Amino acid sequence: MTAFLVTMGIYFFIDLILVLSANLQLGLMGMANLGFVLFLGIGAYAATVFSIGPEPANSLQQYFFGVALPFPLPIILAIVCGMIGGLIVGLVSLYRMRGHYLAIITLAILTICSTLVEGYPKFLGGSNGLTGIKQPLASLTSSYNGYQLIFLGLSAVLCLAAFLFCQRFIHSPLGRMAKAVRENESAVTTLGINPFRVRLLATVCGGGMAALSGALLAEYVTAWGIAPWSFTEIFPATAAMIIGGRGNNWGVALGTFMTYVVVGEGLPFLPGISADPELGYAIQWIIYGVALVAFLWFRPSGLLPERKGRWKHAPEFVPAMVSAPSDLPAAATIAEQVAQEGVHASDQ
Amino acid sequence: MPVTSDAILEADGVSCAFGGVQAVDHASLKIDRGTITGLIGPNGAGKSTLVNIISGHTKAQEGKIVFAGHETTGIPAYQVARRGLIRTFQLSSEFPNMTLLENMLVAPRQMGTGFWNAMFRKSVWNRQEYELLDKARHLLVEFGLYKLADEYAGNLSGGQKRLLEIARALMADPTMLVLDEPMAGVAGVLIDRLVDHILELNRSGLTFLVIEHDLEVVDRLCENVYVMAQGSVLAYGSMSDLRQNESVLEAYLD
Repeated sequence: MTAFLVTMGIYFFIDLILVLSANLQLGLMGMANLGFVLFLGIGAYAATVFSIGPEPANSLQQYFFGVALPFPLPIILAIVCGMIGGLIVGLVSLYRMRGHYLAIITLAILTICSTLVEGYPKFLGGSNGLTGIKQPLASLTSSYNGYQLIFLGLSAVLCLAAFLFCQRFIHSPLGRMAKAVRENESAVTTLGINPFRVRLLATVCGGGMAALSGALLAEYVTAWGIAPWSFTEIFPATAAMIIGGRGNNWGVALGTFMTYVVVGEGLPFLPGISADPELGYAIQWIIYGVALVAFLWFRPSGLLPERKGRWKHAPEFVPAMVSAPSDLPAAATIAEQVAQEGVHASDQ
Repeated sequence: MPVTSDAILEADGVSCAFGGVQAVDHASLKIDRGTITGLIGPNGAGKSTLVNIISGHTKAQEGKIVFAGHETTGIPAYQVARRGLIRTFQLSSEFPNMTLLENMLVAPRQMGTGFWNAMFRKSVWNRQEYELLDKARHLLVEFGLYKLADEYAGNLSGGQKRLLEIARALMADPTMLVLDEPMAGVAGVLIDRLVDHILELNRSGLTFLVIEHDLEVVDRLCENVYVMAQGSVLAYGSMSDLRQNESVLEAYLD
């Protein structure tokens, strides 16, 4: 039982890093960048080739490059590769594309990359994937359970770092600016803010974090391939973010716990389901879908909504002369509201 | 047209077409520092397009814009804004899912928006944050919005959104404000309030260019007014002059 909880903890931390990355782009900035799964894969492959060592002469698996760098270099290089990937994808797509166009192009890039890997097996093992990935800090202990604890600690520390990074990002003037870019792009430009720069920054940071998640995943299961690197991975991550509360890191943590741990790992233990893994898998996806729709319909801000800006230690402010125009009649006509909706819908 | 010392904004022979529609056709205008200038004209006269070109939101195909002594033709909108020309929009453009205070604090140039500062030097931006907060609260008091400071901006009425937008623009310390139909959807009492604010800000040195359909408001605000029709500038003068002008009456005022 303890071993199971430890495994679950490790997966929770790894998945949380991925969902935090998604939140930085989709939640905070409203960018329909579905490429975080792409960066997950980039991180996983990078961590693999930087730790696995050169390709053995008579091996069944093929890959290029391949060096055995000591911990923590593979993880760091994976993050760097993810950030470079984020930069490239950002430069290609963010300059002109918004909304569903951005979603489509990031999906297209993901598909191009996974097809490339699949169709050219000498590159990164093709559809067979890569196995025998070296685990970090494996020399510290020889016992299986001991190593599980070490990996739990490692993923917890890195996850905490990612969480603090996101907290600071969101609750800084930079995060406020990012939120404003999400809310109204043309208004932001007239305040001297370059929305492209903010978007690119979020994509680069998000790319690095997703790559970290992928690197940990590959090193934990010691295998990686195109099968887990599929666009279906977008859905649980997005569901976790929306159920928990987009834009709120604590909400994202709660949502990750609910979707990945409770539904993803806990469900198969229910009597009646445990006997049939296929059934458990199907029910899991049904729950993801239904929960996603239900939350978007009834509680789009999630369980823990994005919090309002607050300044805890700000000096007391006593308004000298507060007049009361706030109870003036609402002047917005329906026509004006409709016109506004129209503009928002066309993403201008 | 040479750049004279008291002109803060000059548009010279600006043209812009969308497909077959010539939205702005060789329009020129000059705005003196410290004035409130009106821009009127019938629907489709090209007023908003001209303002979009001035603020960098639309690219002109011809002509040039000079703001505060520097040519700004073709540079991105956010760079025009950084030089001190801030505009508002025809449709109110608050950040709906942010509080009024958050809306206000987006506007100023600040230390904490650079990545490195934001992430690793909180002590640097934290103090500035309190200064800006204080400034924002004072402005909200001035605009009668302080009671709603922690309310989401999306919950404001149309008129309050207008006030917020102008207050937010002031947070950026502009040298010139371009208001695109500031009174659209604003009812009586609030119009007076907005007019008073604009006049008072003008007295403190702020230059205004105001697009407005309500001619009574234009009369109260502006010393001089440009009239646009079919993409070109038709006339320039005080409202009383323009009321005598045959071509203006024909195009617009009748």
